[in-house]
Amino acid sequence: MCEIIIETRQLTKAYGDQTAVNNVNLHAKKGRIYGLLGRNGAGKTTIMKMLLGLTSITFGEAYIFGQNIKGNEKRIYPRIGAIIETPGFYPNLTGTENLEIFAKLRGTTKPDAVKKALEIVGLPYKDKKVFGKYSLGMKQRLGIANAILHDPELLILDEPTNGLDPIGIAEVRNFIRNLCVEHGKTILISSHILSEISLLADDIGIIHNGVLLEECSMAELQKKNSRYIRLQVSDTTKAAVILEQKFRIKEYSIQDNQTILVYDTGHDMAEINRTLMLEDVSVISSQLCNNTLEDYFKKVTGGEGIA
Amino acid sequence: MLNLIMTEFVKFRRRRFIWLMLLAAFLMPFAAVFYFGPESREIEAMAFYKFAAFSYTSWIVLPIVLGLLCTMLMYDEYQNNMFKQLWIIPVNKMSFFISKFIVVFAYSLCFMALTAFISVLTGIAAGIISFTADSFYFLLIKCLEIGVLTPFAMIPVLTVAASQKGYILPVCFAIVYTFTGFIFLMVNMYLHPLSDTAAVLLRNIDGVILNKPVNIRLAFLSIGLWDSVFALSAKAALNKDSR
Repeated sequence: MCEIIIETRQLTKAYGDQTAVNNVNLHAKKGRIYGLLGRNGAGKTTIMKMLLGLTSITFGEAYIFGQNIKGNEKRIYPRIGAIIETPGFYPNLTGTENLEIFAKLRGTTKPDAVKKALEIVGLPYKDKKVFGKYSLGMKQRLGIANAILHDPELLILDEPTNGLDPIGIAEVRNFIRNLCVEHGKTILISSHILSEISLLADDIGIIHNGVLLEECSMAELQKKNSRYIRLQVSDTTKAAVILEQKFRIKEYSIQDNQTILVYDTGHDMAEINRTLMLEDVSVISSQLCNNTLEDYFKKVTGGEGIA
Repeated sequence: MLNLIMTEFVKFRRRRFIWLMLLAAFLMPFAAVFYFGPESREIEAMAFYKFAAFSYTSWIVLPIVLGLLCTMLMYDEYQNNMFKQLWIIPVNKMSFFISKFIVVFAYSLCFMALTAFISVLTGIAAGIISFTADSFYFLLIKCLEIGVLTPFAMIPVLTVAASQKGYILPVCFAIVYTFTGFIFLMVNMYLHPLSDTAAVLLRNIDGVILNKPVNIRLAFLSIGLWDSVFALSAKAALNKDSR
């Protein structure tokens, strides 16, 4: 069983009467990328802020590296790198000078840590350009460089590709993937962009109006992101036997006593209908369905969907 | 803690205004030259220094300059969205506040050292005073005294700056705080940290006569109490949720 790096138990945040995060039970496994997906204002940033101690927890608990964050901040936070919302730096200093400040504050001992971090994100070392003159994409890259500067075991990244151009997004995606695959980092990443998360995450949590609606692996989710044949028949048990024996279909699921979903869509629907009829199974309806991830999210979030 | 202090000074790079504020150290020495008049006969050095360094510089100029500095130091952190990055390192909030205070303290010392040297140089250059080692030594010690004590009296301003995202309220507070300190100096010296500071400084300056003898213990007790209350308030302010 995978080691759980982040675990929240009934994590709740309320601002007065308004509940921003409601009873969230989140589980991020070691060496995997956990994508927190939700619309703007769904509560993704608030969860991350609570994990990082930037906002108080109204109710519930959060565990990181198996330790309750409350009272263990000094042990836990040096092992985390994070970007929350827009990364902040001093506008009168260069990127290198800004990172040198953070390296000093973190007590980073590696002499080339700043240079290496800048190299990873593709920013020049000892450049004369001050942060105030950086483009949005450069600022975001510097934020990522700061997050990885001290070689943390866990990265918490709140919409890290915000403001990047398509090539920049692809580059950041690749290097986040590399950090996970090659360096074994655990990454919690949030986004409101479905395609972004689907390309990056191993596990996914769908949050809507502060509630974690679903938590599953991307592989499980991919199954739902598929074409399938929806059969309504008089006898599902008999129909299942026919599908297995006559068509060698293994990927199907019986929904109720009349409905079977066949995920293997490589077979001729007319042929399936004909065979079932010949075997005395009445086919009430047969339909080829196309369920995309987006459709699935719309369904999960009650029709509102995600960008 | 040392790292925090060192990084505070790195943040001063390319911040011209912070260095330009040091020019305020020239204000009272030059005013003294005009006050005593360039053609006037030579006066006692101590009389010149009292005007140039010990009076309005310590009562008004330095507190205003330090108030602006306190506001700038905290406002920069808010404006650049730095707190989130610092707290997740994690940086201790009280250490952060103390490091800001130490910057103010160092700046105050530099400002007053500069005031001392400019006072001597302008006085001599204008032919108003002649250099004597004793008076210069007294000027230097007194200026350093002012430089050391005034930052402690400015902790309330640093606290207000730490609790506000904007700069308007802290700047207004610094101005009002400075002038009330000046007024309290004439009413009750032991109610306001700045008037407490002034009381301690005026205790042994020749020619300065106070209504009552200065109670140094009471002055320090008052500064200590105010500073403790405001330092705790600063901690509470920095502990607020960073939404």
